[in-house]
Amino acid sequence: MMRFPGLVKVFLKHWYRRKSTIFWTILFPILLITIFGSIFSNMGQSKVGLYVQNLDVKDGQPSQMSQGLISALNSTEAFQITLVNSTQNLDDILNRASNPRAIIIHEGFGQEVATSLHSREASPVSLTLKRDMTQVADPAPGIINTVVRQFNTYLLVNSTREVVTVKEEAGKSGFRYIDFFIPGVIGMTVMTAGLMGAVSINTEYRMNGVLRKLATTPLSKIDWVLGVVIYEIIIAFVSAGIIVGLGYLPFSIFDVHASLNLPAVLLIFAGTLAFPGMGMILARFVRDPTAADAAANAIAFPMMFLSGTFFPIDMYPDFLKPIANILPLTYLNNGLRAAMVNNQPDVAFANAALVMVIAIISICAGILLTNWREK
Amino acid sequence: MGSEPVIEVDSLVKRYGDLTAVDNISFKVQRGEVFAFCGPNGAGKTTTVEVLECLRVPTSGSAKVLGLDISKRSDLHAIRSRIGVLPQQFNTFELLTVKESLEFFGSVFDKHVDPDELIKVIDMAEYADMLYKNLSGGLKQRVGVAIALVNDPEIVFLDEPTTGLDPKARRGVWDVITNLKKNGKTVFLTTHYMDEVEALADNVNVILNGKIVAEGSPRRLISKYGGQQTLVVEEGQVEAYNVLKGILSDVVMEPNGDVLVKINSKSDIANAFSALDENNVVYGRFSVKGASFDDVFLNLTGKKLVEGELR
Ligand SMILES: Nc1ncnc2c1ncn2[C@@H]1O[C@H](COP(=O)(O)OP(=O)(O)OP(=O)(O)O)[C@@H](O)[C@H]1O
Ligand SMILES: [Mg+2]
Repeated sequence: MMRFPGLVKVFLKHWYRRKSTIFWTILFPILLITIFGSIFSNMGQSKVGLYVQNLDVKDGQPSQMSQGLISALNSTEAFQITLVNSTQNLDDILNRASNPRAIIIHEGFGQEVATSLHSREASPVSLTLKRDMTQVADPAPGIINTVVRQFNTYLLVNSTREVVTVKEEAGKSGFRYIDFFIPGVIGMTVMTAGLMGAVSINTEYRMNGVLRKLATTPLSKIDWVLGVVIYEIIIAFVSAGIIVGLGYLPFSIFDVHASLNLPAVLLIFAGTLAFPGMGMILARFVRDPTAADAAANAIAFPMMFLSGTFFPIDMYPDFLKPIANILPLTYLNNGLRAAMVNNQPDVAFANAALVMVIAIISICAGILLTNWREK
Repeated sequence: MGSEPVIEVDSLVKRYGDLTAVDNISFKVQRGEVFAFCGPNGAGKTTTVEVLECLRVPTSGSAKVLGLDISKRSDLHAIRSRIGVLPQQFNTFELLTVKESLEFFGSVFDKHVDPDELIKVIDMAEYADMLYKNLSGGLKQRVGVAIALVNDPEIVFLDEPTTGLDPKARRGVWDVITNLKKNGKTVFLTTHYMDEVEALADNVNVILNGKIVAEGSPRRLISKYGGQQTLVVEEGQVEAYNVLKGILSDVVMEPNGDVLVKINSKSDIANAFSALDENNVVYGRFSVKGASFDDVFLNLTGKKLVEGELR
């Protein structure tokens, strides 16, 4: 007979009757998103980043026409222009950029403009603007079009004919901090709920004697561990669901259309198994409840910061990178990002598999180390 | 009460490292009786009951509960299904109501009693929807007893059910225990209160330093170890003391002025009475006090047992 569902029900009742658990599992993540999201979304907004790749170069000398266009763009003072030469791979640069936006001046641009000026029937010469099309509020196209219109007027003096035109092309979706952060917050919530939740449930109920009482009934320690873990899984999905759902609301504080797809669900599931297992191992060795809570904090907080929850691990100093690589939360975070915002299911599944292995090991250890009958 | 043992303990030993908490004890508990295990703090009471509840593994010796072997893994489930336990310093889930707690513990057993019925047994109908954490200590203990009964157990273990309770709350728990006995349950009660033993127990084992030092019905133990009766001359003061000291050997005066005399025969009482009369001693009441279970303890150990401590 399965006896754990009753336990899950009891834990859920405690969850909603105890206001602090609601705070930590739901309000705290939303608070973090609001704070971090607003700090970092405004960062570097004064000038718009723009890469310019000028391919209209002859013998190492850019054509006069292309030079003129670049200085026109520059004179608006709206752009932070970075020049990219013909030997560099622009797509690579854009993939790594936080504001992927580039103007490409193709080879022979100056020549084509000159030809077009002398022939009335010539079609306009186009410039390519590569950018993240999902960014609706991007000011760049507007400014660039204005610059190009003035450039045309300057070239033709009294005509309204279009000599140069801008053709937009979708570049890779840009990196937005909030896109990065949302899966991180979900990973963090799964970790803290699992680790700290399991530690506090185990130490609290051991100290106040409830565990001893349960041990005198037919309830087994496997029922107990399953009860704790399934409760944590439910809580993790409730908070993940709320965080993801908030991103879809029209008047939302953040707009991230993260998807709670199969790999994401698997990752949250595996993560919620992995961390309570660790919590139970910890609770087994640190018996005093305050000490156990402190130990859980001492593990959870550094792990949160070192596992790429708030900032990409690429940005960490070199000596921290190997540490990030051994923390399970790193794989949970990477997997969730791949699944929820980057649309890379293969990466997501690979991370899910790894977290699942950690989960199975830690759950088994948790069950083995939980003492039901004192030796 | 027949002679059907429901608990049989044989040469049980439990050591924690160098400490021998239970030192080779044997005893039997008969079906339907209230069996008390009485001793000071650290005597080994909890260790013994928790071995019987299959919470601790004995170092050596054997024990059978309802004919099932506590050392056999295959018997554990059956034992746990048929016993009810109120652990020492009992607690249940803080944020469940009394009724919810009973429902939860009921759900853990294959067969269980209706929560409302249990609430009636502990006489707590008006508290059914109150959160456990908001109850007083005495009511919490009563909830603990009710939870111990959810599976309609054959044996109920109550480990110090009244320790720390005020007199009124203790009476409440006693009433519940008396009713258990009426309903045919076997009750295994540990306590360090002598009046509790006298009021409730059919049989008692006195345990000291892990060893059983006396066993039998409270009445039998009192007559065996209770010692002499005592003559009490209330507010007799020094006058009474001096008069009685002249004719009897074992006379003491309490700080409140009462004079206590150990008596060996009926003539001692008559002699004392006439001596006081002849000397015109003024005093309050003149009474004879029988031995109580307190005296049993005093005579067995040379010390009094106060709130679990030997003094
Ligand atoms: N888990 C343990 N590890 C080590 N020593 C223990 C353990 N449990 C009990 N003891 C010791 O064994 C002895 C008997 O303890 P036990 O709890 O059985 O006594 P008790 O009669 O129930 O006392 P109390 O009235 O205080 O509940 C005590 O000296 C106690 O300190
Ligand atoms: Mg005890």
